[in-house]
Amino acid sequence: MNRTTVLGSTSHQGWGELTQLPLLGRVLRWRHARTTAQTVLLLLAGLVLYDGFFGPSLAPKNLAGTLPWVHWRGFVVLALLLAGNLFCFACPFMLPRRLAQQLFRPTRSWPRWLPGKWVAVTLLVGFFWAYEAFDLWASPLLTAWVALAYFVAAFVIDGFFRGAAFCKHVCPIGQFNFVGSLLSPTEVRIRDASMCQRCQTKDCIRGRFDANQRLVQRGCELGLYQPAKIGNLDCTFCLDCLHACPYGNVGIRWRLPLKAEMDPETLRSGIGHLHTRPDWATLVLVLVALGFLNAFGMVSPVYRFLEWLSQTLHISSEPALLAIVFVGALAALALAIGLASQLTRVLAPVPGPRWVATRFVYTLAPLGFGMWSAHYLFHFFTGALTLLPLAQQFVLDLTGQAILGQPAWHLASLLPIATTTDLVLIVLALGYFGSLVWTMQLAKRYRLGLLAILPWIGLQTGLFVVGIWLLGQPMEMRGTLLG
Amino acid sequence: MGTRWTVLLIILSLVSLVPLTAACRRGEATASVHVEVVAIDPSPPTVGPATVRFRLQDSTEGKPVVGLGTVEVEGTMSHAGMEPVITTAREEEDGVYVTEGFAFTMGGDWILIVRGTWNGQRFEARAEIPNVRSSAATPVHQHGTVRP
Repeated sequence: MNRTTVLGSTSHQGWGELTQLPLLGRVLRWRHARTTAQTVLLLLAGLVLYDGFFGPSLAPKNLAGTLPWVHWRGFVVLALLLAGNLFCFACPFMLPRRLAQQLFRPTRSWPRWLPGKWVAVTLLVGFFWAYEAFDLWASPLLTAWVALAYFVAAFVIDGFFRGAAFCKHVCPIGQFNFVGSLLSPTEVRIRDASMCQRCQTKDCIRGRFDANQRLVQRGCELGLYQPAKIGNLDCTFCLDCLHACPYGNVGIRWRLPLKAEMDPETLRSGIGHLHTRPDWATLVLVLVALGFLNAFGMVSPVYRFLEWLSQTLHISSEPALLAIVFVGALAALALAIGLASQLTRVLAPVPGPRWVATRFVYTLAPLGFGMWSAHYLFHFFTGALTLLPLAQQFVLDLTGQAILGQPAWHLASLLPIATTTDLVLIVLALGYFGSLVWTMQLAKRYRLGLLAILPWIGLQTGLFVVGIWLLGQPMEMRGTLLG
Repeated sequence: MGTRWTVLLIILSLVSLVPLTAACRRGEATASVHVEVVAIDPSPPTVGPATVRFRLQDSTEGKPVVGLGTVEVEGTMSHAGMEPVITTAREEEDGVYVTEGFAFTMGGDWILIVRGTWNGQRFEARAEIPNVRSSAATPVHQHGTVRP
C-alpha cells in the first residue's frame, strides 16, 4: 500500500477535537499534563501499597482492598467507554520506568523470540487464574504485592530494553485498555494528511532533537507512525506525538467508536495487518473468555459447578480445579470460533476456516468488553461511596482524630441496585450490538450473505445470553477472611 | 559492576525490604475484647433475615463482657464495595448478645464486626461467618478445597 492512500484514508476534516477545547485542550496540550496525572495516580498507588502492607487485613476496610478492585476498575471502563484510554495516559508505573530509562539508557531491542502480545496474553491468563485461586480481591496484602511487582517489572524491563517494551509486549492492563479502547469515542489522530506528506523530519515517531542532537521530546515509543496510525490499538494516549509534531498537526479527536477499527486487512502502523497477527487474535479470544470467567467466579452457581467437577475428576484442590476451568473455557471458546469459521466456510465461498477465523474473531471484542464493563461497573456503582468511610477511618487511624468525621460505614452504593442492574445490562447489550455491527460490516466488506455470518451471530447471541444469565445470578463472595 | 547496576540493586533491595516491615497494622489494635459466634439462625446461614448470637469476652482473661446493654454490629463481606448491614445487638445473658434486625444480603463469606465501649474504652472485635449460602441448594464451600 503506498503512503498516499494511507494518508488519504486518515485525514478527517470537521471533527470535533478535545485538544482544541477552551480549557481541557489547554491542559491536554500542556507538556507536563501526563506527568501531573501520573503523579496523582502514583500517590494513590502509594496509598494502596502502604495500606496493603500496613493496613487492616479485611479488604472492605483497606484502601488496597477497595481502591484497585472497586474504584480503579470502574473508572478504567468508564473512561474507555466515555472518553478514551485515560488510564494508560495517567499510568503511575511509567514514572519509575522513566527513571530506569534515564539511569540505564537501554539500547537492547525486545527479543524476537518473544514477539507481539504472547507474553502479555500468558500474564493475563496467569493473573486471572491467580485472582480466582488466591482471592486477590479479598487480600489487601496480595494486592499490594501485585502492585509492587508491577512497579518493579516496569522498572526492570524498560531499564533493560529500549522503547516501550513493557507497554507493548508485557503489560496485561495495557492490553486490556488497548482492546477496550476499540469502543472509545476519541482517538489520537492527525488533522491534515497533506502536512504529514510535506513533513521531512517525522518527529512524531523519531522524536525531536536540539542542535546538539540531544533528544528533547520523545516520538511514539510504541512505533505508531501518526499518518499511518489506524484506530486506538497499541496507543497509550501518551501524547508524545502531539508534543513532538512541530506543526501542531496531531490532536485528540472525537470519532464514532469502532468505525475506523473494523477492517482487519487495513495496514496499521506499528501493528501491520490484524488478520496476520495470531497474537492479537489470541489476545481478543483470551480477553473475551476471561471476561465471562471473571464474572462466573463471583456468582453462586460456580460452587455447584466446582463441586460437580471435583466429584467427576476426584480433585479437591481449588487452584487445580480452577486451572482446569480456565483451560476448558479458553478451549471451548476457541472451539466455538473454529466451528463458526468452518460453518461460514461451508456456507460461503471463502478461502478456508483459518481465513474466516483470523478476520471474524475480532468481532467478539465489543461483546467481551461489554461483559467486563458490566461486571466492573456493577461493583463500582454498588460500592463507589465506600471511599468516604475508608478515607475517614484512614485519617482517624493515622492521626487519632476524626478530621474527616466519624467513618460513615453505611455509605456504599452510588446508585440504587435496580438502576445499576439496568445499566449494566444496557452496557452488555451495547457490546453485543457492537459485535453485531462489526460482523455485518465484515459481511459487507467480503460480500458475504446473511447466511454466511449466521454462525458468528449465533456465537455472539449465545455469549450475550450467557452474559445476561451471569448478571442475573445471585452474587456469592467467598474468599480470604481475616487473614 | 557498574554504578547503574549498583543503583538498581540498591533500589530493588529497598523495595523488597519494605513489605517485610509490615508487622504493625493500621486499624487492628483494638483487640481488648474477643467475639465468638455462638449460634446463627437459620443454620447453616442462608441469605435473608438472620439472628446471630455471639459471646463477648475479655481478650486477656477470657471473662465475659457484661453490662454493655447494646453494642453496634456491622456485617460485611470479604469483598470490598458491598453495602454492609449495620444494626445493634442486645445483651441476652451474661456476655451473650443477640442481633436485632440483622440479615445476610448476599451469599458468601461474612465478617461480623462488633463495636462498643468497655471500661471506658472503645473496642472493635471481629469474627468470621463463612459460607453463607445463596439458597439451601448451594453447596458448602471450604476455601482452597472443593469437597467431592
